[in-house]
Amino acid sequence: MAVKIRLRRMGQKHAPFYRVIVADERSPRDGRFIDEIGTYDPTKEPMAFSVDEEAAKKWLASGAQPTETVARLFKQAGISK
Amino acid sequence: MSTGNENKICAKKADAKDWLAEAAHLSVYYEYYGALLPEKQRLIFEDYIANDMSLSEISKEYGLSRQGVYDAVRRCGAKLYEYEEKLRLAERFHGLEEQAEQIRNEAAGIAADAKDSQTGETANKLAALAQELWERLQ
Repeated sequence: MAVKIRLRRMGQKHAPFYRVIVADERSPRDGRFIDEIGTYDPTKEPMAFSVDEEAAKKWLASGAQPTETVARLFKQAGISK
Repeated sequence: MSTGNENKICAKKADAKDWLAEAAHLSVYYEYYGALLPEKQRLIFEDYIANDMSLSEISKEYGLSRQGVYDAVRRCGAKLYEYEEKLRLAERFHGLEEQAEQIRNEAAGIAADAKDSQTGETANKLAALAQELWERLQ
């Protein structure tokens, strides 16, 4: 069962706000997730990305796959396995 | 029919340099105009933008080809840009929201500095009205 690290949109109409969540590959829509490891706010200038680096590394090391978007954010934040 | 907007959308997350900024725009437009998209396309687009699913994940989910999902995402994105170009709801509401906030802050400032109780009361009322307006715009 693959585990993914992905974004999930929260926030209000004009203010998209995302959580960085760890979830089973097959539950992107039903809201279930295993862990919440950060937030991402694209409305800030520059954009605000905060993540629990240790948790991120732990999940990456145990084989969780980040989505393209999350991988990009991690890269910008200098997070790798 | 080509709307001329397709080129603006780079639906491939890995390709778009400024994909993150674009996704932020599209997700706002989607809040306004998403209901106007055909049901199936709407679900696909939502999965792509709000649930951060990949094209191949979505294609598996709906039993469509990856290309079909990609086309649907691009079409939706183009439609959303087109609606915003014509209606400007997101832009206008955002402007109103900011102004309501400014009025609220100004009024709160006047209330705080008010020398007499009547000015303070009026300013507080104004601040409350501006707050109400701001909430209605959410």
